[in-house]
Amino acid sequence: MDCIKCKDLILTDYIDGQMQPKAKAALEAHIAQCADCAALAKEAGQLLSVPFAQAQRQEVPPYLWHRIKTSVERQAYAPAAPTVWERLRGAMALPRLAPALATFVLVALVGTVSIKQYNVQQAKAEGQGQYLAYVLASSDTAESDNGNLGTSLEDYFL
Amino acid sequence: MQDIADDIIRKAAAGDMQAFEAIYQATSAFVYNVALRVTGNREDAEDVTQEVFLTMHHKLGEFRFQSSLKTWAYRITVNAAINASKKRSRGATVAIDDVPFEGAVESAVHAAADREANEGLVNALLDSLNEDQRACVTLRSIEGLSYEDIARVLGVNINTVRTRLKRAREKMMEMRKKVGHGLH
Repeated sequence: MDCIKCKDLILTDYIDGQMQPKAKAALEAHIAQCADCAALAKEAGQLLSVPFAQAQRQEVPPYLWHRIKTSVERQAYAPAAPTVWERLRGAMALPRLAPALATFVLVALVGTVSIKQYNVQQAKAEGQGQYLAYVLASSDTAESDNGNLGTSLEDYFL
Repeated sequence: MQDIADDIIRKAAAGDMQAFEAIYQATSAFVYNVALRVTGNREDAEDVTQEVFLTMHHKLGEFRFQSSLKTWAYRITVNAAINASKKRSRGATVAIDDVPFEGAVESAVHAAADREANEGLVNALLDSLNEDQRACVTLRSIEGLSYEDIARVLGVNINTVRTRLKRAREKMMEMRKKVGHGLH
């Protein structure tokens, strides 16, 4: 058994009395031959095992039961907290929400239609702009075409 | 702790206050003491104990008898105590007992049977640990639970229990070496 494993066991299973007899015997045989592990086993026993073994359980304060009983009885008579579904249903109660909901739906519809109309107008404007640009570009081309039929009147008469 | 009869648990779940009080009498000692050791102060321990029993009362109807009531109570207690401890960071001074660590070490060495000094020593040692390690050491070294039971209470692997105990004890030994005048 190596010292690393031995030290692990000393700090856990050995001082907690959780070892099987055969494993414990092997560990103690190593401790008998190893000064380091022997020192650790002694320290762990003195510092860790003894103080905790002597630790006292504190008395439960007698008034604590009365506090708990009162809280339990108070909880028993309190109305139950509403479930998520009940809260949602309450929030959706028509008399309160209908006008707000209707307004919201109306605004959403109007907004959607307005946006669509705006987009159409934008598209038209862009289309017109493009067409205008095309026309202007075409007229430039037409002038030059007019001057270059290859059979100009001047040429004909020259 | 005596085992609580199943019919007592069922009666308490049905709202029988006497049956619930019987559960309280059977479990409050370890609930309070685990809460005290993990939180480190009486005020939090009382609050945690109240919270544990209110939780138990509220959830008794869901208890399926797959584990013992004791294991269930330990689990609720450890979780509540760790949460409370994390909320209130534990200072260097010990709230349960005012004996300073250095004095406690010396007193414990020269008068090991001195109950007050021993309590101071134990609390100072626990104070050096994080909440998970403190819970593990409390359940093992004070409450005497086996590694399997601790693993069940904490909902972890048994080797995790070993690792936490080992690291906790290494820390406590190191603390002793820094402060103590030696136990050799």
